[in-house]
Amino acid sequence: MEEERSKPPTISRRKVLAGLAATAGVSAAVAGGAYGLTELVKSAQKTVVEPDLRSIYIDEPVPSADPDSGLWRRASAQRLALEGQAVIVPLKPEATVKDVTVRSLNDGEMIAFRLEWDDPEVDEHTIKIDSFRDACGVFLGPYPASPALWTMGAPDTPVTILHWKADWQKDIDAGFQDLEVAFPNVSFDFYPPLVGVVSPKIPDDYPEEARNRLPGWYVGNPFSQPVKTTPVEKVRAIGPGTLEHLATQNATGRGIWKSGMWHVVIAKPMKAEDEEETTVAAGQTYSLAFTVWSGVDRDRGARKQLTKLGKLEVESA
Amino acid sequence: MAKVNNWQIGREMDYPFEESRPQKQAGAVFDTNKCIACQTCTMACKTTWTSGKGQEYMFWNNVETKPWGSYPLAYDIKVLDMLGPQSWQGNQYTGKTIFEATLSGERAMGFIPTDLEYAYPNRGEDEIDSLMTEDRYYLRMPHDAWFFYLARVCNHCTYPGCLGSCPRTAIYKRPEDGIVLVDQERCRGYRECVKNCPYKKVFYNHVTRISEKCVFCYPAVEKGIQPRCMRTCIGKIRSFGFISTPDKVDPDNPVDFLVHVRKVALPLMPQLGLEPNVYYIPPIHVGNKRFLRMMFGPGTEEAVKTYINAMEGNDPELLGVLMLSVSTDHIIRKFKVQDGNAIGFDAEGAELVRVPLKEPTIVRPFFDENAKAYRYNVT
Repeated sequence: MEEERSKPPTISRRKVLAGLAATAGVSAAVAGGAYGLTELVKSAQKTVVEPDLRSIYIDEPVPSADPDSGLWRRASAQRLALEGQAVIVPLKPEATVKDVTVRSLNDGEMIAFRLEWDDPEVDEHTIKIDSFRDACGVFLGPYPASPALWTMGAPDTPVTILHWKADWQKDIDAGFQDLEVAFPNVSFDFYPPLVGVVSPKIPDDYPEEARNRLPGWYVGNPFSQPVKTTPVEKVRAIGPGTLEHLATQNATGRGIWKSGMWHVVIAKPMKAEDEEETTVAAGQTYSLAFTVWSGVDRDRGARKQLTKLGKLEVESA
Repeated sequence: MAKVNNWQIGREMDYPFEESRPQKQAGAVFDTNKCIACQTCTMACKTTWTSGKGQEYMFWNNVETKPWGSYPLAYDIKVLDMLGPQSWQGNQYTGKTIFEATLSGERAMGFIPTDLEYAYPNRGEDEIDSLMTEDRYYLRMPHDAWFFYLARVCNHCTYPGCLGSCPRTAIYKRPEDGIVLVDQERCRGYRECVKNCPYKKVFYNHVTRISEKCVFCYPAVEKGIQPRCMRTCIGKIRSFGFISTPDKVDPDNPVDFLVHVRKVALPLMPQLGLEPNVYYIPPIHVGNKRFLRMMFGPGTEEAVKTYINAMEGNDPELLGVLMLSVSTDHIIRKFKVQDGNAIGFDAEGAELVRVPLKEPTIVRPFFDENAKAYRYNVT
């Protein structure tokens, strides 16, 4: 157990700009990128149980797809305890990922969150029957809220969840992870109606008229679309089991795995585009929680570890 | 967990949802005594439904050999092993179902097979139960060394393990015919259903990354046509229809007649508690009655006797129903045996097909007048 230290003061924009010029030590840490940042964070953080995060305003675009950006140093980090999910069956009573370190920036237009957690193994494929993905989520809802909101919102109070997935990230970074990635020697004689097409690649070799053989793709299920435009899915929920993919998928982000840790940025426009989406306004406070799924532990759906419901204060310009 | 009535186990049991039966329940009876494992059913289903990328390993219909075969490997042994020894008292199951035996924190007891376990669908095919030695006489009934074919599809259970396990109700049971389907828009690939179907008839698609299953060819069923696996059956083992609960039996309904009236057709592993709607006439040549009871429940020995009785010519009604199997591609809703014929009717009462109980023998004269030639085969 690490020695408890007090939380470092919030680093304001002015202080950083003044300090950068003057302090070599700070420059070196910034130059070290995410690694330097991590060391700084880990040594200074105590683990808290309830999120109490401030989304720091910066007057340049938030690094919505760059976990390594030096801009993240301007946000104060908080290490949050993750507990197992013990409310809705199937349960995961004991967390296998013990904590997640989070921070947030906003630029008045976009709000971004950076999450990092320990995960010794990358799970970025969901091709095999028993492969599950690494993922994380940011939960946003109105504040104050009844404790019941924590279980994925309530019928009269939708919550917005921004869900980053490692396999969607892989599809974007390396192209659609087709069957051959998991089964390199696969051979199949004929995929009707593709006459004469040997080893059809998805999506290029599968014309529109053949796609009814892949029903998930055909009906528009987001999990089945080979071309992913973002690794972060924006969903709303009004209680357990009610998650719905929202119409406007304008959340962004990026996850990078390095040396036993995931570093993930998740961002969305502050103004909600969809009716049931949470607008995050400057100067306001929101309910906030974070969730992590570990693929190697066969996490998915309700099998997850999450923080308690806390709050997010959105700093304005 | 709610309390629901499961007539196959003769008692109430736990289930994640309240009891809700459909207007009519699609179901079938398979006569294991006629299956030749030609795999025509398997090919019919695969060509129709599972010939897309990501579906290569899927056999929504499969035919495995008992006792040594299974698809995926050891699916039944594993679930029975997890359940442990359980008991029946007469027609009441006094043991635990998969919903009752499950660990707390789980909806049902189950496991997810690995890809490798699906890769050997023909494992154990045609393997007899024991070694043949020189002094074993195997040409008698029941056989000293036996095997039989078990053709399987999704059972479209009344209390599906898959439907009960999905945390977001992405699996539903159609109210009009009881067919169980995975909503391809709603599924998020959690695979709780794959884990908790003890028959392993929900499959994860490698490419679409969501799950899918046998749809009982519902577009055909809606038109009064039998599913493809049923109507292409070479051995004519399959009787597809709609099954009633024991309190609403229609003795003129072929499936009701086989299951409820003659009780010659039994559910597959009823002790698991799902109330499956595909029934089996047990193999009459298998001497190991304990094995058969484990597979088909306590009614097995009576069912075998009833079947043998019919084969000996003492039950024209039962023979008639069996003769109607795969005699038409339409769904037979009612039947009648009259003047040595079995007649099948549709829902409106129109005659669909007429089959003689005994195939007529015609002897043709040695000399064919039309062709002015001699025949060499006169029967």
